[in-house]
Amino acid sequence: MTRQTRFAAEVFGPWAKGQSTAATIDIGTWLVVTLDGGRRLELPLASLKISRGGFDLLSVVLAGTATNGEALHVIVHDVSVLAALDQHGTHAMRAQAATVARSHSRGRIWRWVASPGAVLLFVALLAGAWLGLPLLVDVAVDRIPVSLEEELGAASVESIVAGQPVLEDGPVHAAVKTVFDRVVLGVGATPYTFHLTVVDTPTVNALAAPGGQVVVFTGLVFEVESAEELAGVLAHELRHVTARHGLRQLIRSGGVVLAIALCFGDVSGLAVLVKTLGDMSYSRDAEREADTGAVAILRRARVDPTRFREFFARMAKHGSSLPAILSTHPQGDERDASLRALTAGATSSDWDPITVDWAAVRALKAPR
Amino acid sequence: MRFEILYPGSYAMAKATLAQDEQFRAESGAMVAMTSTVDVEGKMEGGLWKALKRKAVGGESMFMQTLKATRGPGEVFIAPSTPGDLALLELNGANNYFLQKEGFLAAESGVTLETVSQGIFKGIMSGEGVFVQRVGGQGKLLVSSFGAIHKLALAPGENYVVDNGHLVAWSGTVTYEIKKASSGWLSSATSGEGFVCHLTGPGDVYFQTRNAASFGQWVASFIPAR
Ligand SMILES: [Zn+2]
Repeated sequence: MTRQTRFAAEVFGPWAKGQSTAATIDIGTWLVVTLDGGRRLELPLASLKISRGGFDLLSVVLAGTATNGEALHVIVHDVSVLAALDQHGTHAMRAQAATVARSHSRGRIWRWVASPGAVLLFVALLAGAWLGLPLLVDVAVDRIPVSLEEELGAASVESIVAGQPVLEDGPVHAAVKTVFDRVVLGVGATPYTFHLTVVDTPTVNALAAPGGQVVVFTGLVFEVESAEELAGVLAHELRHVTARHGLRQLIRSGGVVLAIALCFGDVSGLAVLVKTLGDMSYSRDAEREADTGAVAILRRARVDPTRFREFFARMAKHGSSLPAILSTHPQGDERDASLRALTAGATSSDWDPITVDWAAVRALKAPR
Repeated sequence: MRFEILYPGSYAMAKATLAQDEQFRAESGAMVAMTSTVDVEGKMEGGLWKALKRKAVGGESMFMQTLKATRGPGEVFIAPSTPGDLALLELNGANNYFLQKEGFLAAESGVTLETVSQGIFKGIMSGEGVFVQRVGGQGKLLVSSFGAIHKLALAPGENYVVDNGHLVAWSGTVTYEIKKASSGWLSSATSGEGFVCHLTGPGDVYFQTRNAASFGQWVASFIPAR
């Protein structure tokens, strides 16, 4: 199949700031730019950086340096230029083009907003806004596909990790992964694929991000006294994920307009908020639900659910130097009592031990 | 034909010089004076539904005027209804501009005009409305501002934050995003939830030195409550 290789473009070069020059581009082994007026510039295809840009990020931006040394930004409004780059480019370029093409497909979901029916519905929703944000958030959450939630989750984990060391293998990672996999068994049917990220910092914390993401800091790994204690915390975070607590909180923090926009399928506002996910705490109701869910998950995975409460009770006795996990999960008497009630009646015949020697894991803690 | 901006500043006006049979389009009601060789034709661009939609969603007038020098060469003076400046933008067939809903004043006949949605979230948070106008094609375009008009020429990757309600026009190559404002950013009513417009080059951005909504509030503060 022969693909189109010639496209109309706007070119920004060192000759004018802010004002583009109309051009035609040809894609082959080189990117050949013919400016209006006839001047011809050539760029090696392999050196191009491809990104999105322009109104609603609907255009493709090719940035590179021409053989004469001029830095060029070539903007193509026809996205089929990506297919041409995919055909002629190097392996790395094809990967770039594919990534950009994927991100493109999202932008226009909400185009139908301009239809008359949508305008009426919009007015109706504005009225609905008076009914309250929580109701609107419920509707909005339901409209978000899992695939988008996964993208959001991955992006927010990136911003949470932000340059901190991440463990991808080694005995500590392996131990956490063993516990994690065991707990996931108890989740049951779910649309999510769960991802574990182990961050190697002394923070005593774990958190959940949308789309199946759980982040554990090694500070917590070395603080817990058994695999079961960690399992409890992980189960709690997994329940936050499956109940979409993070997503709900994210939408809530965006206010009424974001929620209304989401009800219409306009997801552009979500990306704006990803960065705020890291420092988020959930409502008391969400925490209660996560605790209840965690105990259910642990029981299904045949993991001792009582140790989890003990961990929090022990942490609460730390006094002045409370770990991070307690600032988002205060262990009041009420929580302690409800966890005790949830785990009442469990006997050792209901669970099988997680076969990780936790004392050996804690011995791996590097002196700081 | 030729557009010329007269009295640049707060009370700018434009003069269009037409050869016989040349024509251009202007916002309805923009005509101030003209030679008797020119005919004015009010017409609904794109039919009734599109005109209604523009009126309902864009807040602009339902009718555009076509001014044609039917009986010999002519001159037309046009001006926007609010005090403010004018800027002349050029479309070369490859580029686009986006205009906030009240930005359009007049254009040569080769310029195309289309109402597009920028999404509810962006529309409300930016204070520019859900619908903006995309202009393309070939020819010259006059945009009007409230207050003076300032042009920023952004290099690739160059970043600017513009307060809500101040954008007049921007190149289609400019990436314009709504972002959460850093704390301490105090702004007009629409950014109450803490969002501002981030613009990234390359491209030109035209913004106005006054915000119509804020001005309205200021005027209202002098009207005694009954
Ligand atoms: Zn929690």
